[in-house]
Amino acid sequence: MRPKLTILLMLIVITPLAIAGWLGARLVRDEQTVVEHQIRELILGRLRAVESELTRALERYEQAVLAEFRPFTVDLDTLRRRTRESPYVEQYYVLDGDGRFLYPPVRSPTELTDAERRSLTRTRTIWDSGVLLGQGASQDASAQSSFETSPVPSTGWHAWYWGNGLQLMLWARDGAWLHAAEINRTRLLAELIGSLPETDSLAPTLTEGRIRLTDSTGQALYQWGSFETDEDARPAVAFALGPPLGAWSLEYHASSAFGATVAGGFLLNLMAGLALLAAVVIGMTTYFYREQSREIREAMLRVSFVNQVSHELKTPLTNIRMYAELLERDVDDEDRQARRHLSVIVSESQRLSRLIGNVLTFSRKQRRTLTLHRKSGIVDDVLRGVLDHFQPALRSKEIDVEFRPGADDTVSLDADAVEQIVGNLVSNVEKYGAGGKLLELTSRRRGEQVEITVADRGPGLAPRERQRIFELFYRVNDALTEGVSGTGIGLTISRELARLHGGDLQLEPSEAGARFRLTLHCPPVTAGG
Amino acid sequence: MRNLTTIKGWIRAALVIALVIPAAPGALARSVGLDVEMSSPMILAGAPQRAYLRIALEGLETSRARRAPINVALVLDRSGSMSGRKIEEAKRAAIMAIGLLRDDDIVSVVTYESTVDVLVPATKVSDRETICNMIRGVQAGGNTALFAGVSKGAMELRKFLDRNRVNTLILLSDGLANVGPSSPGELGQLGASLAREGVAVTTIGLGLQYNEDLMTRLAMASDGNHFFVEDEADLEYAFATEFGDAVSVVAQGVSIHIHCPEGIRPIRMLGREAQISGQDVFASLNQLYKNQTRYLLLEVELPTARTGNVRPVAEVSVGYHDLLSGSRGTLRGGASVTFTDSEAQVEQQANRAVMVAIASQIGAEQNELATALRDEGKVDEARQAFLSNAQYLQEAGARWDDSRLQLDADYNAEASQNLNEEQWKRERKKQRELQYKTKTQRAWSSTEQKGEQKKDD
Repeated sequence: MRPKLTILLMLIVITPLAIAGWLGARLVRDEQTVVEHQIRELILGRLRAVESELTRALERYEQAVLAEFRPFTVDLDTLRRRTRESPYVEQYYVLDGDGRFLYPPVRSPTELTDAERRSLTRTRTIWDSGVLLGQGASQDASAQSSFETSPVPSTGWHAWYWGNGLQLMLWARDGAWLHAAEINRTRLLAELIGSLPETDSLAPTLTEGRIRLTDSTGQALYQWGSFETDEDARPAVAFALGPPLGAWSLEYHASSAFGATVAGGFLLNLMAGLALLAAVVIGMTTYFYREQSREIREAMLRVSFVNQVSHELKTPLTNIRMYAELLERDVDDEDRQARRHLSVIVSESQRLSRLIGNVLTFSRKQRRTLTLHRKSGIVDDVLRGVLDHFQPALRSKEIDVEFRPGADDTVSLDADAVEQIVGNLVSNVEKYGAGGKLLELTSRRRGEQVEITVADRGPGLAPRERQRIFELFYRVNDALTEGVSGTGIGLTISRELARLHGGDLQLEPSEAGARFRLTLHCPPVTAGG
Repeated sequence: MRNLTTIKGWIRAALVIALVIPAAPGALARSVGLDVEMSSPMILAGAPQRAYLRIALEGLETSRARRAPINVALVLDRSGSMSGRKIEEAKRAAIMAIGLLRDDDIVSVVTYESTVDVLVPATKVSDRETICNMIRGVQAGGNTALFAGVSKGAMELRKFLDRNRVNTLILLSDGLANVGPSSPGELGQLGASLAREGVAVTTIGLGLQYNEDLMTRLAMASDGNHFFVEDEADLEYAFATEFGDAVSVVAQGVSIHIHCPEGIRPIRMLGREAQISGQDVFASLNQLYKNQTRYLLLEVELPTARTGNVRPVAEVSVGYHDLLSGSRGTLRGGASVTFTDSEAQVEQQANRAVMVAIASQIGAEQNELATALRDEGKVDEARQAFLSNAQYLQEAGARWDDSRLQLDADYNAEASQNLNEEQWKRERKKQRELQYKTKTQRAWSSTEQKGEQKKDD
């Protein structure tokens, strides 16, 4: 009973808390998602601003290179001087409409400088694929011109990979000729870095994250912001740059607590709510538990009181019975009046001792001290004894007894228990089935089992009551029981005892009246035992 | 402050030559002298011959007292490895260096670790105290975003970029660049780009953990200086030397065009990058200090000729920005050879200064090869290479009576002793510095000597 109660109480406490907690967690998660989304948008906005800064720096670089392009020329010395002196460009190129090199002088390889040769190696894939030749040649809509208002017909960037990663080529078309410049990659990067913010180490702002410009391999090219993070840490937000720097990304790094602080207040409120709920539920449960245990304690006290009283009653009652029986024997057969009075005393005291027996058995069961005391005996003898006891009562209600004994072997049994069970059954017949005027009692041996049936021809039991009659303190409550006293523990105790005796007590279906079948495990006692 | 003894030989030679060569037209108070000479004016006839052409440029002492204003960016490493004495010494050296500047000089201070902080945006040095206080507040910690630091420093320099100023970026690093581009090639590319705008990058490698290849490539590409400072106490010396050089720049943006007549084939430029296209060779120097001689050494192939023939080998034209007059100066020169069948005559007529230069540059090349061998783990071969290079330099030094060559020989010999794992790291930095100083003809002395010199000052 107690562990069950504990579990129940725990469930009462935990269930509402769990439900509230789950709902709260969902709410927090939703809130977190919303906050994260907002922060993400905010950061993306910042990164977009950085990207436009980069775009402007790239445009300035483009202008600087285009300024070097002009005036367009194919003069070898001029182009070589430009290549030699340009801080922005590694190597200039001029190609004619058929894709032939006008500069550098590829057709006479001995004329090439070392730098030109190296550049040709780096850019070979571009020239082999001819990808630049079509650029800006016709009304090619896809040719992106970021320089439409300039006198230059058409210009654009071309990105490719070599060595350290992304390389850029700026091209400009002059009629049929294509002018191109292989960009000094590190110089461009230095310019881009120059255009990006720095980190003020002396006055770092607390909410500062870290923005990182990374190359195609995820390596940091440049970073700023005072939030310290590992080089390989996962960014909170990553943002790929548009062409021609498409291989590069901007990453925003911030401590994970950044978003949490925003949702933190909400979480705090939720936790407070949950704590309050827990306090209320626990308080209520404690109150309920204390009430419950007080009731149980009081019930126990009652049982123990009844138990003690019963014990106290047992001895005087036995004496009353004994002397009444002695007196019955001594009274003259003629003195009917006295004899009738005595038989009432005897049967009522028997009834009382049965009642006390039941109460004591019940209290032993409650204290888990209910045990059997098996001795050798004969079932039929016990049954005859019970019938003997009930003789006066049955006779007074004009109930005929049909006893068909069939278990006269000496077996191991607890005679008191069997007497108590059968007594209860017969008493029930007397109380509820008296209208049938017949009590059938049979006994039979089946191997080690003894089967006893007690049947009457009374009104019987309604189907819904058939199971409940064995419940503790259940009493059939209808016209049948009007004016009949009872404790509602007889059948419960009887079934308990029968089961303890290795058998069972069941209500059997019958055409009329109630029919109980009692089985008991009574192993025969051998000669030696 | 500068080790004059090591270059006194060149200066003596240059001074003699300066008296002989004709003055460039229209330039009275020239700040640059040009001297074009062959390894020997006599060449063996009868078969194609290889010879060297030396184009020497000298920054001349001028009467003008006022030097050109400086535009300098200090780019300081404040990564975690700098913490402790290193950062303190770096700050002290930087503050000392700012003390050397004039009020109309421009300074900017950039510090970098994982991120970059433009501590002092480009500004006139008039308010020294504020600048120095900013520097004093620098704390160390974090990674090494070297590329970004240089980028930001260059950005600050560009705000006041002017041909009439000495534009120098001084980079201090004690570790490996680990944020952003970090290969010597990439930094070299950036250096070359900055050089074309007239910015020189001087690199100071501190301690034993920095990447000397990266630092020398960056300096070489922009024609700046390079220092290996093993002990942070010597930082002040490096800064003082560098600032001393900066205040003595007389010309910058020096472009050299060598044209060889038909039949003469330019083969290669020793020790530096040049654009060789057909008969024309283009090269440039970023800065030229007064009392400093820098040269280009061009290997040429001469055709077969008959004895007695005289052939011009090269016409040289030099353009430069004269920092004292603020105008563009030009110089012209040339060299020719006489063909002979007497080997003895060739020997006898050999030009000492040119021969020293050749030995010095070949020594540097051999030193690089030996270093490469050690890099490949071929310790024994590297030792042999260093030793034979030392012998070569020793003999050349003895023959031409040049102390610098002898000093180089000593350091090659020393390198051969320090090839084991724990000493090589330090030795390699020393050898890289030696190679660098030789290739760029800068005064060089070992760390030990630097320390002594500092005490002398």
